[in-house]
Amino acid sequence: MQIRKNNRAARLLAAVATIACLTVCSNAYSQYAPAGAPDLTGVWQRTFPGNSSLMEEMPMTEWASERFARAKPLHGPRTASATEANAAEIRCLPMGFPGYYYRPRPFEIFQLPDRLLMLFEVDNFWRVVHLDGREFPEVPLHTWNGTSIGHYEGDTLVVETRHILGWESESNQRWLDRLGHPFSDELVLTERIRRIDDETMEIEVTVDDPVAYSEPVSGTLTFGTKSYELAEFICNELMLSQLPEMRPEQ
Amino acid sequence: MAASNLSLAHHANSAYDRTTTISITGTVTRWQFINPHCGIWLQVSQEDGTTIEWAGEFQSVQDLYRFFGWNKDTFQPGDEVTILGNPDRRDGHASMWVSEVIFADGTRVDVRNTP
Repeated sequence: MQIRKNNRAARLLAAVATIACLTVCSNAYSQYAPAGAPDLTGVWQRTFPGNSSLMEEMPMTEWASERFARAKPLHGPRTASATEANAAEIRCLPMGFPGYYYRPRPFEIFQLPDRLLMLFEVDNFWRVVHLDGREFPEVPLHTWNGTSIGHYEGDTLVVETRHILGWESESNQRWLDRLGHPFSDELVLTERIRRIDDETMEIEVTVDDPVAYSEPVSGTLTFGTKSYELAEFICNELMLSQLPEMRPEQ
Repeated sequence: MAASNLSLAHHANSAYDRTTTISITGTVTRWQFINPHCGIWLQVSQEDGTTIEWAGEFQSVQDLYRFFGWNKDTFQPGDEVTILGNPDRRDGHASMWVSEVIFADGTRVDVRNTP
């Protein structure tokens, strides 16, 4: 009984320490990260155009071209109205990565000893990048945002993400961006994240998805620091909207 | 035109004619301060003495709060306001994508002016 109590006390202490660390340690990243590792903490938002794609000419396979033609994005040259669009975001569904980065919304990074946390304002969504040396699970669990595992290489954090749910159907579109470029369950995403200066972070993205792209697709996304704090953003308030055309046909 | 046909607006602004800006003055009937986009409805008098309802679509709660300090109480039913913006392209849709608001005291807010 005493042991159980002690375990509970230890768990409680660990929980309190974690919460305290989330608020206090975020600026003390260096005590966890190896020497020379980048300080990525802070609030960030994209500085690249949201209606762009990783490459101007995406090397789409036939599989991808066919699905791209059926995409009805909310942005870019093929913009459809909200009632006609089939972008995941119009249904308040997760966009996955790198898709989330294209939203004009801030996200905050916290660096901890065994993981890096990204808190996204849009959808009140959080992403964990595991830094504890683990391997990807032998039996994959495909999820909306996948599993992310990272490690530091000098001034760069290298993150690999796998097992993101890929393009499923007309009503369950999964894109790399906001323009409708699809990806499959086979997507392997590599991000090389580094700090360029006090106000700029750069993520070099490589998409390896042989089902959708005949060769790896790469691009560099840049982000600027923001002074404001994240706020609550419940996308599903859409369902309460009295502007009926803000949401797709049910 | 029936009011039920009028409060139509689009999430994406493709439904709106971005090359045209119109100005509508009326009395606030509803203010919907929700994500992902906010909305306002105005009762607008017409020359023939009848009134119609206009709808205006804005960006998100966070943009309007963060950059302009607006909240769920910014507009009250009965307030007189003018909204400027891009009209819906379709006939019979009295709605716009709002670019600017002029309050009764003359204060103007350019809601597209965000960092």
